Amino acid sequence: MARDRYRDRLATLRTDVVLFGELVVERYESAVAAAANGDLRAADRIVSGDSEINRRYLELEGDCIDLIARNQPVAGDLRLITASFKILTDLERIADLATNLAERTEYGSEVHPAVDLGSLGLAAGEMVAAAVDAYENDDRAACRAVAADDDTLDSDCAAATQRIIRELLAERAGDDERVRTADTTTRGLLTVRDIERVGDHAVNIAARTLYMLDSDDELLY
Amino acid sequence: MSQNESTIDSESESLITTDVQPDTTAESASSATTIVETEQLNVYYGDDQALDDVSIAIPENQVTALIGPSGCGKSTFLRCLNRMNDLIDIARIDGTVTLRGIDIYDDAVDPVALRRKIGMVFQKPNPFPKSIYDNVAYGLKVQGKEITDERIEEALRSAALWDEVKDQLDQSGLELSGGQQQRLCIARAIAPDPDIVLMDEPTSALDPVAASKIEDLIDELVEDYTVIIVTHNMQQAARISDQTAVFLTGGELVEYDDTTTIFENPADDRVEDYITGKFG
Amino acid sequence: MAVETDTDTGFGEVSRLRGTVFEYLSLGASVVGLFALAALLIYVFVDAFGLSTASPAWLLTYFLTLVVPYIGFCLYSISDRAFTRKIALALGGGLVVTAVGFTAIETLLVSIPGLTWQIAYLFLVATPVVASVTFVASRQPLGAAGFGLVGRLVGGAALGCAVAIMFIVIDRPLWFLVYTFGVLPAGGVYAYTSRREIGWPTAQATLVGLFGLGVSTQLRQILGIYPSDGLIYLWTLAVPLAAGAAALVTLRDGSRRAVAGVAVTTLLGGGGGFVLGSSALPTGSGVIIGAATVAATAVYLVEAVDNEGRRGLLLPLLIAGGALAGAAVVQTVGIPTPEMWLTPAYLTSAPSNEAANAGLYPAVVGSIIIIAMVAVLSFVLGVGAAVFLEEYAADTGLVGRLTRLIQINIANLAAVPSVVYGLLGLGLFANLLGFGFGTAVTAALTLSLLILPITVISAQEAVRSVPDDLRQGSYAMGATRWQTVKNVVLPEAMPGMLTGTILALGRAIGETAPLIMIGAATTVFSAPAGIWSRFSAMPMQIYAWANYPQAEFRYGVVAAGVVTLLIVLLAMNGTAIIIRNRMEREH
Repeated sequence: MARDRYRDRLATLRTDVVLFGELVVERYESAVAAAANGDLRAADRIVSGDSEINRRYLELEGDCIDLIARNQPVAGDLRLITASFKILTDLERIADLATNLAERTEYGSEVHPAVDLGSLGLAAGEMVAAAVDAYENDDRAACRAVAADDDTLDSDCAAATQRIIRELLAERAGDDERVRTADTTTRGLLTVRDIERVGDHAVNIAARTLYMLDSDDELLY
Repeated sequence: MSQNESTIDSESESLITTDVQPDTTAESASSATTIVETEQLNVYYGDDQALDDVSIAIPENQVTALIGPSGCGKSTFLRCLNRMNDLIDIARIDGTVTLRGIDIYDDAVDPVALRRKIGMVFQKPNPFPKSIYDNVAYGLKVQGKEITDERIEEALRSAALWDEVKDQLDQSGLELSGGQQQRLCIARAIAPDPDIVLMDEPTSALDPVAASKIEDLIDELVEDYTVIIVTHNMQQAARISDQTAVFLTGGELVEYDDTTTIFENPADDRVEDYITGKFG
Repeated sequence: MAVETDTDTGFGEVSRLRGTVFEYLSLGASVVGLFALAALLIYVFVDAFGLSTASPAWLLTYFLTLVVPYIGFCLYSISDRAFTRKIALALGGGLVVTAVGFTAIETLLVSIPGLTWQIAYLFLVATPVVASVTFVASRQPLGAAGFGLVGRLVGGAALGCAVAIMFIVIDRPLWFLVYTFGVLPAGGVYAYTSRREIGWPTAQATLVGLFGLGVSTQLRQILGIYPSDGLIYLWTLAVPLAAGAAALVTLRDGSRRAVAGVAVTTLLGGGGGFVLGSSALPTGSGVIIGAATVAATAVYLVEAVDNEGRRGLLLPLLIAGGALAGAAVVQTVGIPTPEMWLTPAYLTSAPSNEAANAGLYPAVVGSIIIIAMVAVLSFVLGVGAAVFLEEYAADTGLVGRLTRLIQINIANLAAVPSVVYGLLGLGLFANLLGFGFGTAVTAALTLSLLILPITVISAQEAVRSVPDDLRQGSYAMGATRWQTVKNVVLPEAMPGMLTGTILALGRAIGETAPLIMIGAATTVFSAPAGIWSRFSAMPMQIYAWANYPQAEFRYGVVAAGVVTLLIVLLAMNGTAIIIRNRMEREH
């Protein structure tokens, strides 16, 4: 096989992206858990760890640029590098969303009574994990499955939003209570929106992976 | 929860360690020992100046690429390092070139003895019209070193040619293909175990597949030797080198830095223009 | 012209008239010289072999017993029906055309002197046909085997003869001593040290050889009794030749029996030559000729008998049989034989005042000895000068200007008339250095100077044609200038240098004027006994004969001399070409 070092670096890039993806998924799941349990200490660690994620993100992006600048990749190699480049952005965004979740964590309370953060958040996390797996293993079927799962997630999120609004409308409380209810509602709505976005990023990762494998843009929209 | 956190930390640490690339980082360049150094090197061919005040420090066990447009003096520079310019009557050299701290243009230095420390590979594959074995043994023979089958095999293996020629060592080196001939020349150059291997556009006469094999070979050679390569193919310099020196017309060394820096963020606008193809 | 005219195609037409005229003029220019020379050679051959006196029956007999079987062999080897038909048509059609055409020209236009239509047929049709079938057949396994064997028989014998002639002027007892005490021990030391890888084999062997040489020259003064020449040749030439041939067969993976067979037959060949002797050359020369012929043939046969087309090896028998059969028919039927001038007796006897007894032997020996010396001298000097001028002399500065001056003068020297060189030889070698008037040494030195410019220029050309890449490659490996010259430049330039020297030798062998100037004898009656004795050379002798009043001398004897000269020249050039091709193939 010619250009051994270049081949090695391509493989390394892919492994690095997968590891980065797994790291982001873990962070996101920790954030979901922290938000659900109101664990402030865990949430703080996640917030402060974001700079580490950003540094790593820039490093990997630099690797992609290096590979393009120095090795003139073409065809499948070029798609691998450009797809990885885009996937890294999605992963970084997911990490940012995890930070958002952590920042909204309040001591000893769950996000919103109408939102089952555990199942909703975990569903989105599983989608990201599945998309990263698909990227790692060239799994076309898994890419399409992630896209299909997103529809369920979207409808679950819509249902959760409706429940939050309904609860808000049903609320009859005093002024103090109303302020707290407004806060909880905002937090609930933002959290649901973030989770929905995590799902969208997972779909993006799956779509880029499919593009990388077959030059197939069916999931890109 | 805290267990979760610690996993994250250890994970990110392990990621960082995988990130350490063996090449191309600024630290590795500055930490490597300098093997060849020139100061204010000027070369004249008659009245024409071929090199203009070139000062450069080339690190050991790395690939240093010299690029630039035709006639920019990069080959002249290469030939200063093993005093091949001495063979040209009208060439005049000014300034100092040191190899491991010794001025090679000192009167006490015998150019023939110097060349025995430095292997050279040329643009056009130039195996001698002798057998493959005798080609590889040539350096050992003229340098009065012992010729053993093991050394020949080792050199051919290092040049990634052994498997292709082991059954035809008695055949003429000229019967090989162009790419094989060039690898034979590399085997010939490294058989006497030099300190440095100079390559003067070693792949420009070869087809892309053969050229790519030579590039791979350079990757491996650099573990044992310092490789200094002149190439008119910028992409090749980008692919294989750790350091890149850009010469521009008039024999001026315009920029010398890590290859990554040169190709991603050159300091000099002329280098930017040259590598982006705006001129040259 | 390029006048464009509108035609249907719309492209127009471009005139090529001038180009076509030029093409045919060039063709005419290139063949006019060849035609003139061919016509001359035909007459010379006709005279030398007395063909004008040959009866049609004699020609027909040998045509049928020699030429037809030979063509048959070639056609059989080619075995291509279409080609066979073409050759048959050429032979038959050529016969009719030549006969009718020749007769028509004779009766209607002019009479052609000295020729008959049969002879015209022989040269115009039969010879080209034989040449073409030979060429085509030599590419087939059968033909290649046959021609290979004939070539080695003839070549071996010729080489043997040349060496035997060389030994006429060598002090045989001294050679015997030098070989026994110098060459043999030196070879032994070289073989032993290089196999054991101890010390410097070349230096040690040279030392031993020089010591042996010294001992031999001393012994030569003291010893009075030596073996006969034949035994010396057997010991110093046939034995090493047998060993060499055996080594060659071993190298080519011959069986042990084949190796032993080649060695033994070579020795037997030498012994056989000793017993048979040779009619003209000094006693014992047969050993050299026999051993050389047998060695060349035997080495070839070892390989050829296993190869495809080994039936072709019968070709020598076919030729010999054809010649014998022709002779038998001529004898029994009583066909009158033509008066040939170029006969074995002509080559082996001394000149005479009677044309019928005239011979060229002393002149042939003289020419070959001189040429051998000239070859060595001019090659060594020419190569030396060329290598110095190309590899060592600087291009710039004072030395560079001097080099250019020398360069220009060498080119000019090549144009100096040969008579002037004769004068130089007379003044420098004969008078000043006292090498004697008309001695072989003086002649060889003079002729060497004469051809030196040509040798130098062609050797320079050969050195210059060695790609600079190779020199650079060698220097870059840390080779010194001498190592580069020895290992890269000389081997690569050798074929070119040999070609140049051989062409120059061709000129030297035919020179007459310088030989006259240095006082070489036109006619000597015995072969020169050493390099210091007076001699005659072939062109001198031919020139002398051409002035004889008798017509037989001016036609027959001179023609026979010219043909001999040409044959020696061709043999020399042929050898050089074979050596050169071998060297080129090795590279």
